[in-house]
Amino acid sequence: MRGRIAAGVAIIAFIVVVSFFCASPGIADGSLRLQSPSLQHIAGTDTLGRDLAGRIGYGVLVSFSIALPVSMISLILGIILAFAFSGARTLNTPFLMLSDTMKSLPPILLALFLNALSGPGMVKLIAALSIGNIPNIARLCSARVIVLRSDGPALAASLMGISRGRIFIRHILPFLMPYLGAEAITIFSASILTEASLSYLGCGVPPMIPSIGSILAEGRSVMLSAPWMILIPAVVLAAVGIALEMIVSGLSESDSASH
Amino acid sequence: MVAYDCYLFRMKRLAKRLLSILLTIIVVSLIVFLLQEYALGDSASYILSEDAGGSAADIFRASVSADGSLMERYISFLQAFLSGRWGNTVSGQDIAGTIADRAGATLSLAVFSVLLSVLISVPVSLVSVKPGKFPDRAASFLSVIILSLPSFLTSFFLIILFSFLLGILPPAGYVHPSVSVPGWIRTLMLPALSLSLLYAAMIIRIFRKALRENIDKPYARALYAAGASYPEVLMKGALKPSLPVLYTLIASSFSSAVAGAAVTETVFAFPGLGSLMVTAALSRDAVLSGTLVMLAALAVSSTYMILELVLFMADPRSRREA
Repeated sequence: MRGRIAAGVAIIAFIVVVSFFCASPGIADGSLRLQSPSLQHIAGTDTLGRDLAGRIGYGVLVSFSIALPVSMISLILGIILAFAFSGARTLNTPFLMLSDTMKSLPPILLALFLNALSGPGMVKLIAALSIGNIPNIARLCSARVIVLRSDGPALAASLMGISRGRIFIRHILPFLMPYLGAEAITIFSASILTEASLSYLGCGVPPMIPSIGSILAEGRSVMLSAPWMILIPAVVLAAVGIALEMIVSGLSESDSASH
Repeated sequence: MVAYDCYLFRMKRLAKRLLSILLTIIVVSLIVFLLQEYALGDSASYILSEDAGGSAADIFRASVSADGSLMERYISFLQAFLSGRWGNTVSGQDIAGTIADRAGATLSLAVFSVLLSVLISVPVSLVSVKPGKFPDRAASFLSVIILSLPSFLTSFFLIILFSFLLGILPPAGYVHPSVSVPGWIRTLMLPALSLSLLYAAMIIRIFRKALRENIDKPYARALYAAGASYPEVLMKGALKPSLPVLYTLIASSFSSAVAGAAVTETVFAFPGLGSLMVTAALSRDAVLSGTLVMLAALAVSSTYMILELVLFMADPRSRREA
């Protein structure tokens, strides 16, 4: 399973590095409209004659730079909430109810509502995608914290009079890590898809920034005459998805092996 | 006595669920109300500058009840929502009427896609239950691919295959069943199929895991020891205890089809609530959008309440837990 995690990380790293080097929003050139893939334009050109490889690379970086803060914010706020309430077991019920409520508001719906209020924006997008995960992470985390706290090292430390915060950081958090890592990556890959869908609808990242979703929206009208416009982004997204899935399954296996 | 305890327990559980629906409505409506409050300055001036006229301003202020304290306004907002007075869209149509016109399409799409996803996923899960064999590898690979592509890309490929190459299904649109029932089914097929592939991938992944866990449980092993064949153990020993997982997955698929099929509906130009939500977002219609969000929350939490009842009836284990 270590091999699987390493392979997944390697694929993601490769995609990020390549995207970084070829990322560019591209220059419109009417004479180069819808050229099929060639040596000059590895992924062909789009309806305005812009180099598609550069735009896809840019789009990948944009989706990663949205998915990364989303998973980090969800994780960190979730852990803080779980720690803050780990003293009181009765708070599990409100958490449960809150995460039920958030479950009834799919992130895409929330993002569309924020769009209806004041148009598209990066910060709004990140907020809409993170907000639903926080109570969920907090609830799952606090259930594990309760188990871990009355077990071995954490119990010994608390009998020795070590403070709650220190115990949490040194004796509880490390045990949560494989599980939280898998959870964070699941959120990451879901956010990439939601961002792509929202940008496809024109409600994701602002329209002047290239994104996978807007490339695909543009490709839809020409998908028979210029199939590379949807096929190449699809292959990139599938590679990202498979790599993330490999990391998640590796992490959750090592997590269940440690129990 | 036992029956009475059971009854009491059922009531308690139901009451808890009802409470949770109530809480959902309050929390979601509060979020919608506060965000609308914050944004209404924009859209009020936007609407008024289009309409102009001094009396229009007064009427508008009265209609959004921009007077009174925040609390009073929230309460009248909630009252208006609960009594079905949802106001008008930006373009002046009655919101309640618009939603009523489109709810049927979304509901039929949701039912159709959930049915299809069960028809696809349950046989596939049963066939591919043995880990490491070819059916398992094929099903796992396909479901990872489907789950790692945005749903609209799956829709594109279905449109290319069924509309352009085979030419058997229309790529977009919707025919009302009162006009033509076969036409209705034909227009539903592609959006339902692309939603159901997504749900089926999810169901296969989780339902199969439950089947695998249950086939290793003592009750299934006992059947095996008693001489039952592998398929018999699977159907009699492992299927039934895995059904609650399946019901939960069905409920979550259904609720996401009712609340959030915005993308699929838009791809297929399907006149449902999801595409209405997108229209509302693009035309900056805060009132319409907020109403749809609250309705979605209501629909989703009611679905989960029905799920709770179904689970209670289907799973004797759930009656024992306190």
